[in-house]
Amino acid sequence: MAAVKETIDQVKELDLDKYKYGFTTDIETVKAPKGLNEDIVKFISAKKDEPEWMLEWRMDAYERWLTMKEPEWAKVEYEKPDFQDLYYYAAPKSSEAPKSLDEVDPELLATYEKLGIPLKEQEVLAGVEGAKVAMDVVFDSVSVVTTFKEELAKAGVIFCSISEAIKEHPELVQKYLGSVVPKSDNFYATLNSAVFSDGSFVYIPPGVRCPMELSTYFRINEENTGQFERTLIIADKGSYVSYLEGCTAPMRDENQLHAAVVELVALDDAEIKYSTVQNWYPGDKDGKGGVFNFVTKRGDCRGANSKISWTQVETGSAITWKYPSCILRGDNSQGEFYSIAISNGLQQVDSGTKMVHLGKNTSSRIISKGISAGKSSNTYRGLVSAHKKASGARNFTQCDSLLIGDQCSAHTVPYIEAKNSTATFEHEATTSKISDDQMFYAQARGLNEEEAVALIVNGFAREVIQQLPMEFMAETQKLIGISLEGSVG
Amino acid sequence: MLEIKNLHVEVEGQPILNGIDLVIPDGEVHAIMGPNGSGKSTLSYVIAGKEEYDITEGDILYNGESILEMDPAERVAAGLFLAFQYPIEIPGVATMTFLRTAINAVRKEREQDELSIPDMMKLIQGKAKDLGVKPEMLKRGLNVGFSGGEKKRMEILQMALLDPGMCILDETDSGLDIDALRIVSEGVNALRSENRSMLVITHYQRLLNYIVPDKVHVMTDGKIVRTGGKELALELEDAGYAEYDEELA
Amino acid sequence: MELVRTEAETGLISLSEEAKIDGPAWLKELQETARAEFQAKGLPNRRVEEWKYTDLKSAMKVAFKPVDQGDVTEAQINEQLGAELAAISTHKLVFVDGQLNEQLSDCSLGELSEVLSLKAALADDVSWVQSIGTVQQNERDAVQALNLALMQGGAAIKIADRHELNKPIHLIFVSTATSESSVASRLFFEIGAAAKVEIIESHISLEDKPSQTNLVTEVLVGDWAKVRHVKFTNDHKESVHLSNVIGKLGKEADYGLFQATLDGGLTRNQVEIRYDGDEAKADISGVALLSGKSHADLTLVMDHAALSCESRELFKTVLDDEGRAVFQGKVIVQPGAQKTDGEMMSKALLLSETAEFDSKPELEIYADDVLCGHGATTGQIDDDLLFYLKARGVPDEEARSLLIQAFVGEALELIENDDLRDYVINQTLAWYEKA
Repeated sequence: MAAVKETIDQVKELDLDKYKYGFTTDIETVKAPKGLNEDIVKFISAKKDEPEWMLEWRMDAYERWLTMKEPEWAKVEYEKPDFQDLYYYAAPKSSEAPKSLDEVDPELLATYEKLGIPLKEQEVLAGVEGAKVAMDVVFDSVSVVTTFKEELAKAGVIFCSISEAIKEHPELVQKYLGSVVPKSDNFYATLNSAVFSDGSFVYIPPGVRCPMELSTYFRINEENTGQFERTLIIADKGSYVSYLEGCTAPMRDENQLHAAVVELVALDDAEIKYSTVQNWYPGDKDGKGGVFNFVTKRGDCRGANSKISWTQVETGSAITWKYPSCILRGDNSQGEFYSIAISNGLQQVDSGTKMVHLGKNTSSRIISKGISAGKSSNTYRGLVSAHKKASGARNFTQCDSLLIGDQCSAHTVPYIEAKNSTATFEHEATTSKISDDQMFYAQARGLNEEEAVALIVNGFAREVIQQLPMEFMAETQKLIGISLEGSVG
Repeated sequence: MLEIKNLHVEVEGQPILNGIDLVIPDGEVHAIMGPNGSGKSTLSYVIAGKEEYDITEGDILYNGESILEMDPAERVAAGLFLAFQYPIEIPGVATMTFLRTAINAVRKEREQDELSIPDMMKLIQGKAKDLGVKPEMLKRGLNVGFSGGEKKRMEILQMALLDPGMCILDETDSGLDIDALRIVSEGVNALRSENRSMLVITHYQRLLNYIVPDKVHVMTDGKIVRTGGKELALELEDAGYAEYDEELA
Repeated sequence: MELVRTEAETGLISLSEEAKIDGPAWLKELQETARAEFQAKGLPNRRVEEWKYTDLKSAMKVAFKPVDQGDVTEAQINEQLGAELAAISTHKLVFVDGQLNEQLSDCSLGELSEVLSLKAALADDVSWVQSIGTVQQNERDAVQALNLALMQGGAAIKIADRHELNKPIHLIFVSTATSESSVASRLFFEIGAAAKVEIIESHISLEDKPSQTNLVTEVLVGDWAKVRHVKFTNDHKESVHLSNVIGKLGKEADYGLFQATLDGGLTRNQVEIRYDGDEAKADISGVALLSGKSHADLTLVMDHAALSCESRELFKTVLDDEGRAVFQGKVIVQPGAQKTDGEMMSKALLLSETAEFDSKPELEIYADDVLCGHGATTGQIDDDLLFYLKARGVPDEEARSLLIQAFVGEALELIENDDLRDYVINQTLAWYEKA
């Protein structure tokens, strides 16, 4: 008992101010004036030199947004952002159209080096021999560089910023943008539709297995700046892509708003694997500052036999509001959601997924591991539903919560709706703490308490960690330790 | 008499059985041996009438009549019985209730009178005693909380009670220690008779020391590749299946 | 914003204005507050989270009116109960059209124990009944408020400390109405320390007419007390049955509630249990067998506010035709309620294509040293089990029926009283035969 008690005390004394990625980059930026109105929407669209149809789309979203209210059903409490006190556009001045890495501001390159993100194409992620990862790097509101574009182009893969795609591939963007997350889907998604500034675009042609992992790295640098990126990934018939997303932000006393939209479309026999390691600044130990992460992510298994798999490791942000979902429209399509959500300090997480079974013989799997420490609140919220015509729908859900310390809380709110008698749904949830026996055993094998906690939590979350691409696995295991220790590692 | 003629079976488009020919005359005990995945269990399920198998060619005749159109319960009434490799647990159905229901259902189908409750109890308790099935087990949910040996004994008890003409024993030896194996085998041997035949499916030879077969068939890759007397089993024990299976060779 | 009132809401509001029950000032005030709450909220609809899957506002078209207490004989009651249930020796408490009928009832529960009609208890402002309406910890919902505003009948029942009842109390709610009618009643139980009591609750109707029932049962379970309560309903297919059981458990109290729902129109069984004393335990379980267009909703809150308490819930639902069932179960572990042990399981078997099952099992945990879990499954009859039975010669239909019995049997086993369990089992058997 004493051992656990001490661990809890240590966890309580977390020094969250030691957030590793909390530095700022001193770089000249171009910003739109503060606040949001029609002119700002027009400014962003003009800045990007967008076609008329895109501006119309944005304006329509903006008008709808004006009539909407911020959702209040999630188990999170925060002071609502003042949407007129934010910058909706901020871009590094130097990087308005970098043609290649050589033209990228050295200050930016240094930033990413510091973050451990390799931008130079000859480099690979630390410790993984020979793994190539193509990157789209989004700094505040714009994509600053996309690597390996040429090599990907040879395979027919389009990987570029969404701004570029709007100009270069309007037929694809017009066909798919807003087709999974409609422009007025919810408050934050609608805001995003009006003001999204950049993000990544991926198109994998029929039958192509994308030759390397694709990745986006998001960084919020500027103060009082909202980041509204929009990602659109289309996997055409019989194609495959694995996509990784990472995020960090400097330590700011103010809350920063991140309201992204990610849309995935998988056509017949296609597969998309989307992995996220989210490590936005969580705020300090008194709950000051931190990122509001209000994200809408949804995948549409539009074709028969298609598959979309979400894996997320959520360790950062002051508030997380995020439900990566799958619409299982195609017959025999499959959806997966693997999640680790760690909350510490005063963080609040309300995250989960929706698996909407529409086609015949669709299946889905949900594995959620929530770890609460400090004074945090961690909620799994999920929906599994089989519609009338979704015969043979199957779901398995496992939701486990681990509590570390007696000041935190863990909640499970699943909605399970079977409107078809041939649906087979299984849901299981457990809540537990790290047992004294486990701690003792680990310590009897020579681990100190922090190591033991990290080891046990990693074991608890193993099923999800295993789903991550190799490149992220080791990093995630370390991140789990760091998030719980609060030390810089 | 059971006759299997050129039987081809697929599961979800995958061929499992590729032309089985087998005749088991009344009173004989045959054994089928083969490596894992050779299709032995599929054969037993197909004879018993499990649904998910597609019979693409061939026929199965019992006493001269095709059984393919019969549902599983009708096959039992006709005299076929499958002892499962993994007996299913059914919580909430008391074993005694289940046995009563099954016996009377089969008797009714065979146009025999249903047994009165006292006669039924006498019959079940008597046979249970012979097989060392404890009275408490009859009160519990079917197979729920039974050990591996108890489950197999329960299978043989059901076999005895349903009075079949053709018994199929699917890997009855799996999961049994030597004592349990002996008890189960004695139960099976007690049921051997002139007008009852048996098909014993097993991976290992040791069961055949206890239940001595008239004939042994070797099955690999969905086909019977060799047939011989009981000495064939001993040969396999020494040499293994490698010579019959390209992938193992 | 102006509320658009449905015909039923308008009807209920005018009924609440007419409803008069004699009592002290505090009662009048309580009822007035409750009436205002209902007026403000209206009938719950699907936008109210707790009523997401049971839209009472659209399901309840009109408000039926209460009727005066009608005539009924013991023989008629026994006939309706059926020989099997009537034969169980009990202290019968008969509520005719909501009113406790003392001639038909056996109100002598033993020394120091008391049974008072609700009217009498309130009119006399009996001191131990003064906590009526306050057992509840959470905010009242519209239906609970409506019950306070409308309550006309019911009873207050006190079991003395250490008193062990020699036979069960049988609460028999009988309706004599010859046309549509409504009943709003409330039961208030004070179970003394270390007392033991068994309660059977049945709802019968002489004329089999549609009814609307709003019943609230408040139970204060004393330290070390043991309560077993089994409720059985098989209502008319156009009836609305709204029930709330609100319990508060003392130290080491042991509370069991089993609710069996067969068909009916719209049934909502809502249960809120507050663990107030350490090491208390509760088992809230039940079965629902629904055919036709029956809709049954089981909504449960297990609120742990003490140390080392235990909660067990097991629900089995079988749905045929267009039957629709809802299971919402929430286990709350309040800060400091360490060593809570909670297990909740809800399983549904769907027999027809048009059946629907919605479930929402929730955990809300504010303490770390707890062991809580829940499971929920929805499925069909298991093909492997079915094949096994058929491979033993049991014909398809019989095999299915056996498996359904086995499925609900696991829950029915929890009824401790043998005679009562046999009765409920036989009722479920009759249901399969009909279905």
